[in-house]
Amino acid sequence: MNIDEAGIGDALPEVKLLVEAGPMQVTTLLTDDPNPIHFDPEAVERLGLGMQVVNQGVLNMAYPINALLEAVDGDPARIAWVRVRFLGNVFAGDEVVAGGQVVSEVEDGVREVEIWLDVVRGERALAGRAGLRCGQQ
Amino acid sequence: MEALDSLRDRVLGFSFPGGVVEIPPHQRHLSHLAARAPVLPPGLLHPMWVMVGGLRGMGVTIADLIRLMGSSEDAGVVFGEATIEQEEALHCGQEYQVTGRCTDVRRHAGRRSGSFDVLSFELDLSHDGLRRARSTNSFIFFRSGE
Repeated sequence: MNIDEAGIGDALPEVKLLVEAGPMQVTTLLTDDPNPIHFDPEAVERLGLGMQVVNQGVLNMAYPINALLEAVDGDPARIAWVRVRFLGNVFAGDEVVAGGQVVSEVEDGVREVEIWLDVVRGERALAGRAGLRCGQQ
Repeated sequence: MEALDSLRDRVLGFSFPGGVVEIPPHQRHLSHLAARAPVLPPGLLHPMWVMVGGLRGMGVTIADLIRLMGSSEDAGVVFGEATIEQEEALHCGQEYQVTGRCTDVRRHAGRRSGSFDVLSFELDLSHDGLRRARSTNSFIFFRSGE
């Protein structure tokens, strides 16, 4: 789907993936985030959340952004804004699907899209909206 | 649990030291792998770097923010909301000046979660004196055990 030609209600191409611990470790180092729930299963267990490490919010947000990028020919400059609310945890071993739906016409060169991240056979982990720049860039 | 007025006085008066962030190619490569990003035009950064770059360049660590809020790293601090705004895509290897400020601290009581505080802060990434991107975040600090 190309955002320039889409209509209200059109769906973004879904992005489905298996969440793994390795990318969380890389993200911990890149962000210098000391929260042990992202790399230490014992810390997760102490909080009563199970034995799998917890995906960082920035990664959960990145997956729907990947779906947005598919709609703008992979050009990050065409993503004007993204606003999300984190609704629940995503754990290593979860399969997630990121998607979205066009919700507005083009206004001031920007089209609004609703986005989400769902845990397959689970709950919605993230919800929000994004503004994509349309037309010649 | 610290009184909200005292917490707000301390946090809302806090000025981020700021700093400079520049994302080298190997971090671009690894971060895009970690995020399972599609192939992007050469040198351009995935929009998640608006958030990550802001956090990296704000002049304090996430651990510092946790301590500022009177909490600890084991207490279960989580992201509430996040917004990124881009005037243009961020570039690998380009210096960005990061400035930031805490904009709000609010206290809530949830039926399941008990008391929790929400810290909101915004971070601007600028190049050549112009803002190129803004990251606005809220962190949730659970207080039910205090």
